[in-house]
Amino acid sequence: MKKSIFLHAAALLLIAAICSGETPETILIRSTLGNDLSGHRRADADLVLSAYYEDFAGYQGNGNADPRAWSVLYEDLDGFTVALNKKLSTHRYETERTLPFIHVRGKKAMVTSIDSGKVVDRGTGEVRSIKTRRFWTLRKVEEEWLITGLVEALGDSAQVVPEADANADEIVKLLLREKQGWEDGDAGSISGLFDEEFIGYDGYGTIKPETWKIIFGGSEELEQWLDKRLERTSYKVDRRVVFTSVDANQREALALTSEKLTTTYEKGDAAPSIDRYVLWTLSRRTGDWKITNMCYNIGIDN
Amino acid sequence: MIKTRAPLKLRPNCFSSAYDPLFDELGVFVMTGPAFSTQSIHATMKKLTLFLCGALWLLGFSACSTTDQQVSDLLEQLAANEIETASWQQAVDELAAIGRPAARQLVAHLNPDHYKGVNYREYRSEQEKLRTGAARALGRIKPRGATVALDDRIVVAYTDNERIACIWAIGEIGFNQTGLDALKAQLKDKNPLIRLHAAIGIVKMDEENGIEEIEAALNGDDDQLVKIALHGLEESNYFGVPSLSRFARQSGPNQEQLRQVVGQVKDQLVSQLAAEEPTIRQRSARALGTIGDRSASDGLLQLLEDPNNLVRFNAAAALATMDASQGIDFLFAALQNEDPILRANAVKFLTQVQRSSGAVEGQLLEALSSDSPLSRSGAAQVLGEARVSGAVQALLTATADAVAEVRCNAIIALGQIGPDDIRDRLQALCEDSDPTVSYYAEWALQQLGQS
Repeated sequence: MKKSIFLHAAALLLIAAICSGETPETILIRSTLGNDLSGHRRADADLVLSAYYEDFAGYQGNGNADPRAWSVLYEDLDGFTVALNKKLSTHRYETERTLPFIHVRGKKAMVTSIDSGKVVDRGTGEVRSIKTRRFWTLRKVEEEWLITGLVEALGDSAQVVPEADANADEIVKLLLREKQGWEDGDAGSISGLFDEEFIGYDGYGTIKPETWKIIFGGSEELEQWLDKRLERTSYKVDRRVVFTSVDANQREALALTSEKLTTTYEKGDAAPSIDRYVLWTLSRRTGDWKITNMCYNIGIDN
Repeated sequence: MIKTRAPLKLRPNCFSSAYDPLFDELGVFVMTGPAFSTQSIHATMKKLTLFLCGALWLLGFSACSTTDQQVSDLLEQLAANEIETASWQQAVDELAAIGRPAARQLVAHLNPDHYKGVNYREYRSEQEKLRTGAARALGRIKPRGATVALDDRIVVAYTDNERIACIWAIGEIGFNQTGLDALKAQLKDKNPLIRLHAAIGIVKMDEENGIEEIEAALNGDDDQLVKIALHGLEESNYFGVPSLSRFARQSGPNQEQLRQVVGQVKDQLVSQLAAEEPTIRQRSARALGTIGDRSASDGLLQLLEDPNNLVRFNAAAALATMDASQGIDFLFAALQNEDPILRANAVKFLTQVQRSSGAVEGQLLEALSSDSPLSRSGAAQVLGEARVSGAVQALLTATADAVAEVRCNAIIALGQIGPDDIRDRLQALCEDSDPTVSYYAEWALQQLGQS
């Protein structure tokens, strides 16, 4: 009897989920981000960390949607763990979370969340109201979705940006090598610069992640595309690295390039070109810098 | 690796067959004796079948992959050339020539979700070239299953090129309720170009919902819209003929061009009279009747011998509309045929002819006095269906016919035409000895209403 009631309830929940546009994957993603939230509310660091993937990195959005205002916040999971333990010991979290946007492609996903509520200082009792927007990236590992990236305090519009610089030479060189790979038509030299689990996005000219789409889920897929694409097209990439930000330990980096891309075809006369900004994140986990996220056409000017 | 065959040993008095492992993979069987056992024959057949299946599979697989490659190459050609350039158009033509084997890939290229991963395209313009070209090719291949994918691409999120190509393709594929509904929704679009293309698509589905849009374009001063409307009507083939003929008869600024289009459509329809598909012959014949150009008579006359009933009747009706005696005679002969289906067709088509041209009124009145009761009965039916008010007196006479069925049909016809001065006669017929006649007399009185 009990089993039957449970099965009926489960079926009803599933039907309700399907009707509300949920899929099994979005339900699992909600559960993962729910664990992060519950862990914060219960001051349970293990529960929070159960939602994170070992190759995790986090960035500070500084309330701005323009990546030129962003910086590296957590270079890796260890850095995040230290900060988390400190936060949970000093503050109590009484927050709610909504997930207005979840986009899944294969085993990669991106999500935006809005957390609102109160954060209470355990020492002084001071209460602070918060309302913060975050951008998350997740990866499905076996049957579980785990957080691989986070932009904390993501603004919902572009604000004034302090003058950006691009003085991280290694990052600049790598991105210029990537550009050269395009101009040489060398798929291998391009894909070799990407992390195996990297995520590629198309921003479609906007700064709002809610309008972005995941276009590549890993370097293998990117390489397949490059092989196909470079067989029939030639590229001229006029790239300028306009912004870099690297953490103190030189393990995690952010970059923004401005470029004019022109393509010619083997099978025709068209020669389209596009002016675009590309957002990059890079990690150095095994000695070499690897691109971990890449967003074409991020709408800085819009 | 090449294996060396061992010599086959034949046992005395025992002719044998042997299976050579060398040919195992190919399934080839090697016979080594002049006579075979039943078992060996079965084994041989089995191997041979396997071999043939394998060969056919390989052949099919290689043909499929060749076609897929060909389609991929042509799609790249679409992406690499601007819309409407010669190379782009050539790719569309070649994709259309490949036909249904190309449809799956073409449909896939309509979907924005296709352009991810290995199919990613950085340029929106590339997607536009591919989507527009794919829709154009699909419109020529006409796979029914493509309509849903096309429907989704005619909304404002897509470029005008994409929308127009998809709307055109939906119209070319032909009637489909979801396609029709999608086109009707576009009649409310802000862009007159989209509305006009949607209206033309609807005409191609044998519906007239957007005909005012076409009429407005033809009567307007936008040369581009006039050109599109004329071209659309021409492309609409027999479905566009009723509107086209009506527009050509009206006064307006583009009559000369409209008449030219009528001439072109007529030539097209005449050539279609020899089509393999009976529906095409039938619709072409009917449309030629609507155009009413007697130069098409020869082709229509030949169709009077067509094996298909409806083709014959449509051809006869078209000829009758043109006042050609062969068509009229055919229909009147069918009116007195023993076969009720042929008679029903004769009534239907004579009604159409009478309604559209009035060409058979005299013959119908004559037929009311014919010796054949079938002919008298049918003529009464047609006169009623076509509401021929000049036939009232003759029909009143027919209400006294010796044959009850003729009386019955004459009464029904009078009820349909509805002259007011026949009440007394109908009242009298309510007392007719035949119960059906009296029943319909009462019915006809009801049709006349209370006075």
